[in-house]
This record gives sequence, C-alpha cells and structure tokens, in this order.
Amino acid sequence: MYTQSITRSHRTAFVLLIDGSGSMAEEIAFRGIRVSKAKAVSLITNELIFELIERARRSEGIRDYYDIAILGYSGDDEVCSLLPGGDQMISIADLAAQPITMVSRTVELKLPDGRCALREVQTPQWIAPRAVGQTPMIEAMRMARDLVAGWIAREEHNESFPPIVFNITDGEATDGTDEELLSVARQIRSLATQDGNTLLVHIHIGAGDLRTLFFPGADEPLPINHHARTLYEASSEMPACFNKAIRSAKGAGSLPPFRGMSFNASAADLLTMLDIGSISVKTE
Amino acid sequence: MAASIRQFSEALLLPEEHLLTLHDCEVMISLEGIPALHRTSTMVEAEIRRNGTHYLLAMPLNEHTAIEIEQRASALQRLRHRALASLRVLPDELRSFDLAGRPTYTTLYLQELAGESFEEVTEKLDPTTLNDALERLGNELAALPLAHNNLKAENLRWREDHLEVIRPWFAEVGGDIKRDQQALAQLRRPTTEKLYLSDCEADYEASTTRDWCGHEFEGLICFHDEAGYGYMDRDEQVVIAPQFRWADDFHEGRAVVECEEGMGLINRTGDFVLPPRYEIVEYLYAESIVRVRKEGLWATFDITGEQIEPFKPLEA
Repeated sequence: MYTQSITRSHRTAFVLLIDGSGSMAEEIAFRGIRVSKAKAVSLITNELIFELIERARRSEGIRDYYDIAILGYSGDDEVCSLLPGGDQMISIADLAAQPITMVSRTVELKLPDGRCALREVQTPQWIAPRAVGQTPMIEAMRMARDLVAGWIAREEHNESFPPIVFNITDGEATDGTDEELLSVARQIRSLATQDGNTLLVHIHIGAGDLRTLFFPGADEPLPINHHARTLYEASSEMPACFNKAIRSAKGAGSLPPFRGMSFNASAADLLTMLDIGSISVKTE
Repeated sequence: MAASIRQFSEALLLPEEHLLTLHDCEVMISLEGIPALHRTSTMVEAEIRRNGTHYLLAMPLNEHTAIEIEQRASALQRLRHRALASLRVLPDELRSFDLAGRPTYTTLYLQELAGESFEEVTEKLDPTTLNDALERLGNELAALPLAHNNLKAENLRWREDHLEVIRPWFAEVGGDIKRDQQALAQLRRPTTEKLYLSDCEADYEASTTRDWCGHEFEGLICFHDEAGYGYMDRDEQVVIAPQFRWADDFHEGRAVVECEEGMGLINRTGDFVLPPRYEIVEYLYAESIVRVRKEGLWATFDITGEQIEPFKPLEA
C-alpha cells in the first residue's frame, strides 16, 4: 500500500481546501515580516503550485503527473474553486497552460557590510488571498469528498497513489457540529484506490501563542484543546512512505506513526507539511 | 528533505543571499521574469553566467539522488578526459532555511557549457565531420570505459574540434556502453551517399501503349509517346502529361526537363520550379542545388528556385 510511483499513467490528485474566513486577516510572522494569514497561505499555495508544475516539467512540456483542485471556503457558506477559470479539478499541465499573473515581492537582503537592501522579485500567482465572513469548512469537505469520489471512480485511477486532501484553516467550522465534521472526514478517508485510502491532512495555522502540534507522533500525548482533538481525530495516520520526510522535519527522535495534522502551526510549518505531503511522494 | 525547486529558483534570483561561491552569477531569466529552469527526472538545472563563462548549475531533487550524484561526481572527477565536460562539486552551496529559521545547505553541481550546442553545430558541420566526431566520442567513452546512459543531442556540446558530454547524472564508470552506442548511431546525419537511398528505383515492364518507359523513381515513371516525354504512376495513370522534348528521372521531388524554349526544373505536379529558359540545367540532387547556364554564364539555385549565386563565367 502507498507504494505506487506517480507517473503519467498513474497520476495522483491533490485537493487543497483553504479557509478564507474573516479571521484569516489576522497577522502572523512569515519570512521575517508580518502578513495576514490569508496572504501567507496564498503565497505558500502558489509556491506549491509552482513546485508541482516545475517537478512535472520536462523538455517536451509539462507531464500530467497530478490533478489539482483548490477550493476556498468563506463568506456566507460560500465554497468555490480558486483555480483560474473556475475549474474544480484540472491537470497540472492544463493549470500550467493558464496565463500566469506575476506579482512583485519585496525581499530584504543583508549586504556584506551589514546594511540591508530591498530587492523586488517576481513571483507567479495563481490564487489570491481572501479573508471574509464565516468558516463553512464542512461544506468544503463535502465538496472535496465528491471531487475525490469522482476522481477515484475513473478506471484509469484504479492503481494510482490515492488523492491527498489538505485542509488549511485557522478556526473551527461554523456550518455544523464536530460530529458532522468527523463524519465527512471519515467518508473522505474511506475513499480508496488499490494503492490505499485517501489521505486527509488538517493544517491549523495560528499566531504562534500556543504550543504547536506538528505531525504528532506515537510518543506524543493527545491534544487537550477540544478543537485540536477534533482535527486530530478527523485526520489520517500518515503511511510509512512519509515517515522519513516527517522525521527529517521533526527531528530524528520522533516516532511513527504520525498523524496528518498540525495545530497552531506557523506558516513555515504549513509549507513543510505541504511539501511533505506532495513532493516527497515518489514521482517518475 | 532536499531543497525544493522554488528554493533553488529563489536562490538564483538572489544569489548574493543564498549562494556561497556563485553569489555574483547571472541567471538566464524566462519571459515571466523568473529563472528559466530545465528539469529531468532527478535534477533541476539552470544556465548561469559568471565572469563571461556559461555554466549549467544543477541540484538533485531528492536525497537519494543527491547521494548517487555525489558518488558519480567523485568517480567522474578522477577520469579527466576531453570527452567529459568538467564537473565541479559545490558542497553546501545553496543556503535555505528550515522550520526554526536555521540555515540548511544543499550541494550543487556546476558544468561549464563550453563551445556550441549539438543542434547549433549540426547546422554548421558537414555530415561526415559530425559523424566522425560521434564515432570518436563513442570510442573515447568505450575506452574510458564510461556509460553515460543518457546520450542525446541536448547532452552533447561541440568544443573546438570534438564532442563532449554533459549531464552525467546517470553515468556509470565501467557500465554497459551498448545503449550509448545506439544513441550515438541515432544522432548520425545522412551523408551524401545516403541521399540516394531516398530515391525509390524499381524495375518496370514497358507498356505496349508507350514507345518508351524508364524505371520507377520516387513513384513516377518517365515515358515517351507521340506527344513527348511525361510521367506516369505504376498503374500507368498519367501524372504529368507528355509534353517535353526530353525529361530526366525524379530525385528529391525534382526532375530536369527540356522544352522548345530551353531546359528547366519541375516538381512532382509538373509545375516549373525553374522555368524552361536555360541552355543547360545540371541538377546536383545530392547537394540539393541546381546549376544553370544562360548565354554562356552560370548561376546556382536551390531546389525551391531561390537563386543563391549570381550569373558569372565558369571558373577555371
């Protein structure tokens, strides 16, 4: 299980659910500056898309190793695709073919004499930050469940590495109870290819004022915080193929199995979790 | 985890911040304003310039590859041969940051991109010289012995008077060279003699309705009847009506014909590529050129009818 390499004939799918509720306007530290959580999440998501496209690039063009869906949830129970063109799920080659918006980012450099200098660098942007209204997380997970079920039902995906669903949030669902959230999470995790069940990874980002839980291992106590415990129960146990990458990020002393969740994670934690869940999967 | 492609990309944009020894390099930038990257299944690469020299800078994409490349680089550095572009290992060259903001370091690989690309040189060199160079390269790799295991046009450079290989990411010292030899054979260019092979010649039994038939060349058979010379297919269907005072066989889609007005060159539909107004037409199909004489002066055309040399007296 979880041994299938990602190839063009055995592609996999990544589904990102991104909380765009009003609380995402709160500022956090990211790469030495203060930015809103929404901005940090959009930067990191765009970096992930860039990474996936570049990893699929060959001299003849972009190879279809991945299908990708990015759903935003915010406002008044609003769940919609954040991908350019509004497609719910598209191949990485089709995404790469979309016109790219380039945005400038200011980077602070330390010069050899100790002075600081600012430099503008260009960064591709496929999705923009958003922070407004409520947190309809359960509806977003239902939509993700349906997308994954549709993807898995296609015969050509029978033997593929199973889809991975990342839910990136800073709060609790406002459109239902914990039981409803756990129920839809179970439904997502039960969807399987011949290579394994769909993986559901919850990434809770915080302002850094609470203890961080990051891919908690077998030797770590269960979280006391009620919401953290719900996310813990709603997430997948990470299969062994991720252990090396997770231990590399957490430290050699950490013991598997690891849970696919974080609580009060920093933006850097988020980036690492997405990297571990995506590019550490063996690609052709 | 190994550094990601985006960390490599950012390091190329901000080398003074992220690169240890190449802090003053210039990277080739794509139209979008980000570094132009080249990907293989194991490496990400970028072309950079430093002190006027052109280099390929490469980073392994995962830790497993990093270990393999390090071992290969070490073995290759001991070989030192003109057929191998020099490979420099830059230990801990790329600085990025981990979760806690601590710096982490990744080893990069640098190869000088000397001379010209294989594609560029293919345009310039005659096929025999290029084929000889490919054969020499094959012999040199076999003598080392080294199996490159990924020989293709983009992994070859022409340096002064010989070919050298780059991107030795799958190379094996002492490995099986059969695959390399096959790859080099595929890169060979057709020589003058081989141009004749595209001519399709076959015996053809003369029809009783024509007073003369030639052999089949490129699917067309020259024949003669009371109207003159023309061309037909194997089913004796006339393709180009008999009308010429004289006609030659087709080669490379062209044939020399003679009319009342003079000699010219036609294509497979019978249209004139060079109008019939010359005293002599010499079609050198192996070189894809046509030499014509008019009023005692000679000029050269290509097979599209484009004049490439002016009319002038025949040189002694």
